[in-house]
Amino acid sequence: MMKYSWKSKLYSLLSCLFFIGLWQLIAVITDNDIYIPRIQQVIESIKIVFMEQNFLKVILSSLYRTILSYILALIFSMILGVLSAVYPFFQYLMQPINSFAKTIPTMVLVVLLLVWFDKDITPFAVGFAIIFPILYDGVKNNIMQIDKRIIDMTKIYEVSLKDKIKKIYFPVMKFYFMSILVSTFSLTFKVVITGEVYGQPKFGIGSKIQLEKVNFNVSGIFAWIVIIVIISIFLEIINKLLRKKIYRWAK
Amino acid sequence: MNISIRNLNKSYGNEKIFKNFNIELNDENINCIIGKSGCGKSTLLNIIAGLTEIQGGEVRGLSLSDISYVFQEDRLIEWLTVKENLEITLKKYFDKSTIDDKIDEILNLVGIYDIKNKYPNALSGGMRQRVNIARAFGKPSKIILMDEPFKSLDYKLKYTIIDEFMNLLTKEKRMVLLVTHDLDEAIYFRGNIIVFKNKPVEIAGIFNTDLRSCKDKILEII
Repeated sequence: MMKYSWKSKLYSLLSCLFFIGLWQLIAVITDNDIYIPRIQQVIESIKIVFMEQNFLKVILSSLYRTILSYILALIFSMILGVLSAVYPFFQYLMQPINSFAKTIPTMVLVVLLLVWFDKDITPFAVGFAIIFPILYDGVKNNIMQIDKRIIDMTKIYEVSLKDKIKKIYFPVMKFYFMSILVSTFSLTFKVVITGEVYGQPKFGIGSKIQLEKVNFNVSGIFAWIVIIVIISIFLEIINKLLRKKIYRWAK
Repeated sequence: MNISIRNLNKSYGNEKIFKNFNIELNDENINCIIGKSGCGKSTLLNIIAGLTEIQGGEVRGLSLSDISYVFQEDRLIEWLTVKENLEITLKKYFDKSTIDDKIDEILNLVGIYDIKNKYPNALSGGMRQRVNIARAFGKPSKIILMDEPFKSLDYKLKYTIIDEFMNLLTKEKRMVLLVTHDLDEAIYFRGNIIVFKNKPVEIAGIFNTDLRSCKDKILEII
C-alpha cells in the first residue's frame, strides 16, 4: 500500500513536470508572451505580485468573501434542507427558486447582481447564489436517504426530535459536507473571483486579474492562477486533516 | 400482560397478509412465532410495534413505551460509540444522574462492558447483536419483540447468545415475542410455539408442552 502510494505520487509529479515542459515548449515556439509567457516570466510576475503592498489584503478579501458566502449558504442549506426533508411544504416552496438558481448562467447572474447590489457585495452574492442550491439539494437528499430502519429504531426508543437532529441528521450533514467541501469551496472561490472580475471591488483576486488583462500582462494573470492553485492545495490539506478527525469512527 | 390483536387486516398491494386475523398473547412467557420466510411473521411484529400501517383491526393492551425491539439487523448508529448508542435510546426513560449507571449495569449484564467506548465498526457481529439486546433490556419495557435476531450468527455463537439472553431474562423479567423460521431455535427457547401457515395467515397450532416430541408435527404443518 505504502509502495503504491509513493508510486502514484511519483506518477502525479511526472505528469505535472510533463505539462510544465509542454507549456515551456509551446511558449518558446510561439515566442509571444502576450499569448503564452515563459515559465521564468511567470515566476518573475509571482515575485512582483508577492512584493505588492496590498498582496495579503487582496488574497484575504477574496477568501473572506468566499468563506462568508460559503458559510451563509451552508447555514441556509442546513436549515432549509432539514425543513424540506421533514415538511414537504418547504420542498415545494424551494423548488422554483432552486431550479432558477441552478439553471441561470453564472455570467447572467453576475450582471443581474451588479444591477441590484454594490460592487463589493456582488462577488459574495454570486458565490452564495451558485453554491446554495448545490448544498441545499445535497442536504435534503442525504437526510431523506437516511436508513429508514434507523428511524424506526428511534421511534421504538422514543428518541426526541432534538436528539435525532443532533445525533443523526447533523452528523449525516457533516459527512456530506466533508465529502464535497473541497469541490464546493473551490467552486465558490472561482465564482467569487469571477464576480470580482466584473464587479471590480477595491481589493480582490478578480479585480487584480482584470487589471492585468487590461495591461496585456498575461504572465501576471498566470501568476495569479498559480497563487489560486497554491491556495486550493492548502484547502485540500486542511480538508484531509478535518476528514481524519470527523471519520475517526470509520477506522 | 395481555395483548389482543383483533380483526387485523393488512395487504401489500393485492397480496393479503392478514385477513380478520385474531390472536391473544397473555402469557408472561416466551412466545415464538414460526413459519416459512415471507409468511407475515415480521409484519406482525412491526404492526404490534406501530411501524407498519394496517388497513383494519386493532392492537390492544400495550403502548409504545411498553415495547423494546431486538431487530434482525442491529441498527446501531455507526458514528456513535456503544455508550452513545445506548444513551440516545435510554434518555427518555432515565434522568441524567442515573443513565450512566444504567448503561454500565446493562453492559455488565450482557458482558460487553469493555467495549463501551468502541464504535460499532470495531465490533464483531456477535458483539453488535449483544448491544442490540442490551438496548432492548435497557428500556424499562414490558415486552421484547425479536425479529430473527440470531439469523446472521454462526451456530455456536447463536446458542451462546441465546443462553446469555435466557439468563438475562431470569434477572429482568419481560414477555418475549420472537419470530423465527428455525424450529430448533424456537424449541430451544422452551416457550410457546405459535405456528403460522398460509396467506392470509392462519394459526395452524400452538404448542407449549413436550416441544421436542412435537417437532415432527410442527414440521409437517409448516
